[in-house]
Amino acid sequence: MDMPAAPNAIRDRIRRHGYLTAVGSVVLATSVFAPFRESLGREQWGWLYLLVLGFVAGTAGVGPAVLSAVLSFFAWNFFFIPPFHTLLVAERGDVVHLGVYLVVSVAVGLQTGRLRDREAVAQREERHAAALNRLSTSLVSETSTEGLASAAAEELTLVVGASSVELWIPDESTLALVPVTRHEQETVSPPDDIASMWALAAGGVTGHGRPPVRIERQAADATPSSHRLLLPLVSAASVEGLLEVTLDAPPDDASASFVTALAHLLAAFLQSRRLNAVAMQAAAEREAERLRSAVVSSVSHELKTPLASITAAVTDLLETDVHREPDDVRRKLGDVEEDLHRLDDAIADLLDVSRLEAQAWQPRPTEFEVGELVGAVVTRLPRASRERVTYAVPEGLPMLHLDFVQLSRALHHVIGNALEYSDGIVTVGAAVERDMLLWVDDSGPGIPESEKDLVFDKFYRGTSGRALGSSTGLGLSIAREIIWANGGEIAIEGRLPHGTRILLRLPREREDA
Amino acid sequence: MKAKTTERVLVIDDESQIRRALTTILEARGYAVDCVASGAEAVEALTARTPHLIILDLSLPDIDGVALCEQLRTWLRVPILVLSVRSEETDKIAALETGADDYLTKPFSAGELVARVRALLRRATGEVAAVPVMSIDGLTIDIAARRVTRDAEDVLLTPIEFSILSVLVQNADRLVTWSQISDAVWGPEYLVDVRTIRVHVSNLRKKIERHPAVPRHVLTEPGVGLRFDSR
Repeated sequence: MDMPAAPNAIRDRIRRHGYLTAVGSVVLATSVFAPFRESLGREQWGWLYLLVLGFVAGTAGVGPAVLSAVLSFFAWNFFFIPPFHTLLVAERGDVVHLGVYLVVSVAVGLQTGRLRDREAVAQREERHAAALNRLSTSLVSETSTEGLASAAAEELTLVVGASSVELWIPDESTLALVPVTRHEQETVSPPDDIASMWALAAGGVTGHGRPPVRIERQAADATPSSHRLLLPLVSAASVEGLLEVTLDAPPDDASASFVTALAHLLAAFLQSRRLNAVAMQAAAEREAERLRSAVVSSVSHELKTPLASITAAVTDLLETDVHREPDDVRRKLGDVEEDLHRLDDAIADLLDVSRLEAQAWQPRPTEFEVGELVGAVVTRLPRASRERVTYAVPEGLPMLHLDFVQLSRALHHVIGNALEYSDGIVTVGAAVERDMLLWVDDSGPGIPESEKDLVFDKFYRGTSGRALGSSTGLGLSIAREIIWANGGEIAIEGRLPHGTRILLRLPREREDA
Repeated sequence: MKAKTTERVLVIDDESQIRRALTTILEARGYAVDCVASGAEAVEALTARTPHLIILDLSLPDIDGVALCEQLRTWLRVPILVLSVRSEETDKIAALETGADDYLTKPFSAGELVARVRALLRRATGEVAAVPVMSIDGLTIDIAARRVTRDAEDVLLTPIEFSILSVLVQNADRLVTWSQISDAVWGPEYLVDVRTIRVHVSNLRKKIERHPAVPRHVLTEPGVGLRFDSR
């Protein structure tokens, strides 16, 4: 990853233009050596040419090395062995020098060049391995397919010089093949060849057990020199998608095997992601099932208990075997009325929950003062409860522009919770900051720190076993949903020495509206 | 007092239990009750004979209750009391905007129903409230004498504040829409802005409410109007 880039690039260029390097080196060396022809013996120039040959073999590989061996043989002969500027040799000893030079230089070129080539392969394999390694690291940390696709594209561009990379995967719901990098709402249908490849690959695994094939062809609409690779992403279970790579040059074996290895990695990632999604869905379904059964048990308790008591009272009143004073009858009917209120409250809670869950209860804002909201809620409380409520609401607070009906339901639950959970005075206060603050204080036992986040959950009843907000255990969760829907926040704060404050933060009407 | 003529009430509701309960409650108090179960039957019954009051359930099998309410308002002036369940708040407000006079949310008590029916009929016949003096929570309002006291001390109201208070008290526990207040206080030729009325209501609350910021008697009905709470 942190290999210096510049020497690499130079080495790459030398490798790519190896024969040019070979010719250039010999020509350059000869023009440098020529002026000093007389300062060394004619046979000693051979050793210097051998150095040049070593450089070419070490950087450019076998072919260029052999070429430069032959070229330097002729250059030495032509410029340094008398008679000069001919390929004739005057002295017999020089023929031996030249002959031995040719044999040794070709042998050195072959050996050194071969080592060089082997090193180049090793380096390339190392880079491929490093790229795959990086990719598998991001495979662990990356959770989104988009993120992984862009990581894969980056590696492919870096390592094999891909000009474009696209990952095609089947859409979760429609199973139609879509590119990962597509924008929202945009529908992109795959080109014909990708579609047929997909049909072949998917059918090959699920249908006939035929191994998927790698299709390589020239892109019809691209420049003639661009090459496209289509690889099915095959995991142990199925075909997870297609990888489309466009290259500027036809891939050699090494690049092709790198792309294939990368495709295997992607396939493994996609498979584990798919299996994860399946597992998460199962967990979500279990949670929904748990909530549903909690609803059912709460409903049957909160609806059946008052119903049972009403049924008992009314059927008793209908019996003629006992003589009853009119006052007794009235008292009994009073109890029935109380049960009916409880029944009505439970039904209202369930109705609120189902409307909020179905998102069928859109806020319908009107203008009002926060005190009017408090007044409307407190007025509806039974007289005994009403007398326990005091106010800390200043005059002249700015108007709110929110859903009055929804907020009065929320506040009803919050105040009801405070009244139910404590025995003393409950104070409703308000103040204006950037938002409107509305709070309800009680002097009850308080809510333990560990339960503060839980009290807003559906059916949470607290460790004391008493229901919060309302007897269904839904009250504070309804309140929170409503406050959220109106753009506000709700939180629980402890009070000293004891007691609880539930704080509502409500957005104020915008000045520019 | 009811001896002059028997007042007729038309109940439009598709649920037979509700029709039965309404009939029992209203007949016991000397009203004549006709029941229909659909919008079509309602129109038929109304062309044959005009009642003194209509009780209309918002969810009917053949027509949307709000639409029926709007349609009836084009040729009928009798008061309409709308029945709704909790999930129909939006419909309820729409019905009040298109001409219904008051609403009751199911389930309701017999006492509430009878109070609303009496208040609507009284207003329709132009009869002045039978309670010229109202006294609650240390607040005494004597409409005839134009005198208001709080804990035995005189409260000084401007003429507009007193007019608003008297229209609310005369319709105690009944919804009074913004336009009804505008009509009653400024006269039908003006349509006074809700914000203007609110300013006067806010001043009125400062003078008569114990906690002016948290009104207990002059209550706001969201998006529709005010209600004087005498309980």
